Amino acid sequence: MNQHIIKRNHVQVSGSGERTIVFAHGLGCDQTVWKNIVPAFAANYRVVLFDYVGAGRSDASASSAERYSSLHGYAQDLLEVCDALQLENIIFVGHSVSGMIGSLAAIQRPGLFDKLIMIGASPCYLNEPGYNGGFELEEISELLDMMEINYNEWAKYLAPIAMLNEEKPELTAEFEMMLNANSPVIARQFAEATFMSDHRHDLQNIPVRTLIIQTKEDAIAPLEVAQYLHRHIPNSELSIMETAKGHNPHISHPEETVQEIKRIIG
Amino acid sequence: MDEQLNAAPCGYFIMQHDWKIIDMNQTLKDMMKTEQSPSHIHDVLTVPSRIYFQTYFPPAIAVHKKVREMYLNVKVDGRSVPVLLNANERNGLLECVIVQIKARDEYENQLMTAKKNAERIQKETDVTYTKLLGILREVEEKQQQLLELNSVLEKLAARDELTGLHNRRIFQIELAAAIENAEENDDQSFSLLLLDIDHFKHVNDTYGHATGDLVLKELARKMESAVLPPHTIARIGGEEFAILLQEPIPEKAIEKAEDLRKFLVSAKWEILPITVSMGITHFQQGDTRNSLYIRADDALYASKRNGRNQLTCN
Repeated sequence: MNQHIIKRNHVQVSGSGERTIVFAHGLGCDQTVWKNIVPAFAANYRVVLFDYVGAGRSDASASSAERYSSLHGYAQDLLEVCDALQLENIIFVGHSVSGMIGSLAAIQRPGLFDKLIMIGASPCYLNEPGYNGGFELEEISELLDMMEINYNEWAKYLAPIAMLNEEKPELTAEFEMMLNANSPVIARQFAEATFMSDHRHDLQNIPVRTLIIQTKEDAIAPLEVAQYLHRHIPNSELSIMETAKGHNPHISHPEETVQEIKRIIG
Repeated sequence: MDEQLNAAPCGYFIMQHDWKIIDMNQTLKDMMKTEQSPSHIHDVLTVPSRIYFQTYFPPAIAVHKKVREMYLNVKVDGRSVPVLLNANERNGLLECVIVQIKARDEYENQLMTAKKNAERIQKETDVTYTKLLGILREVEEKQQQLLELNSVLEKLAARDELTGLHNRRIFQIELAAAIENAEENDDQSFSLLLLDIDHFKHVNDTYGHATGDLVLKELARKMESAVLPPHTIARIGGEEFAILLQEPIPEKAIEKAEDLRKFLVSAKWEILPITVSMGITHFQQGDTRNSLYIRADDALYASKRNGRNQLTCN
């Protein structure tokens, strides 16, 4: 069972230390987005990376429309990865939608996480009465259509072979099969589960110290949304980054992102 | 910017890693209908394209150092124009090319619409199919209920209303089955016993039909207590009864019939005491319902003729 999960989610463990950091990627990418962050922690922490089912080098044949139709299915992936490695007292760092996925997992299993760090998270992307998520339903539908038209483009993100295998040439037939199975249909499902989600009511139940990291200009999760998170998560801190802009500070400003994370985990 | 690049048949711009645009060729400015170069990529894109860009462009550049054929929509005069974007990272800057894809976009939109229609039809078909399955299940349930009801009705129809014994119709069926069975298996031959209440017309004439009915009922109960399954008892006429004795040895069948007659003679009758005349015959190969019945009836007639309250074997 454990080996099955390790393989299914392409779990990678590196570094050494008493405490464990789990980094969770966001929509449209995979664990490789953490490559400039991980080295800063590998000396003092055990670092766990994984791909959600349907992303990166996961086994997409494990995908089921029912399980992954909501973020709870992805939270299940996260919990199963933690259980497979028998992790405890985890520091969780989630980018974008993984902020909410981590929250759902923390609510489901109080005590498993020691700290929750979310970068560019949003509990609800759609504008609702009295809440400014940033997007109208038509805009989200247009986005989903755009994903469909960009079919080949995603296939490339989902299957990051082109670049990565220059370093890792172990392209087995099985691996190739996995990549082919990581189809745009699953990616669209992830996008739909993400952008149609509304977890505002769950925020008050997050039972763990939470750090909300926000950049100055984030087109996907605006500052107003970060402030909403801070107001509604009981034990939370909002940290606005000094220089980083955009939705992907871990890619664009890895040093500053590392500093932020280190500051809260001490 | 050199003149050829400036007038190239595609939009060209240079962007920093904070997505600020620092230069743009004339073709792109013309396409965007602007004289000033917009300062940020967000100013160029529609809202959905901005989300798409933010979600996919940075990770792609970080991992692959390039982006190919990314479909986006740019805003021109408040309208959305479809474009394809290529980008390379070089010397810390992002060099990008934009090509408008108006004709191709229309074609792709048609494809998308067709696909969506197909998906919708598929969904509707699935829904209808599920409904049909539901209806089918309902029909099956109703059918099962009908079957059960039928079997109840059949039981009701098999009974003689007055005595609750098998009626003539069922007796005929049972007799036919017994013949068929005996033809195939020697050890399953049987005897047919006919019996008739003695002087029953007199009972009816003297005490009335209501009392006659009570006598018939009492006789039926008494016979049921004495003749048990697999033997079966039927009322086949006014005061005439038939018993199928599933007894392969004729002598034993005769013994049983005689026991029954004696039992009726010595029984305590609540309404009024009666006796019966009996005729019995055993199955022989080649017998039909008719031939068996005629033989048994002849025997019964002989019993009547010879003084009643007796058994004759034929």
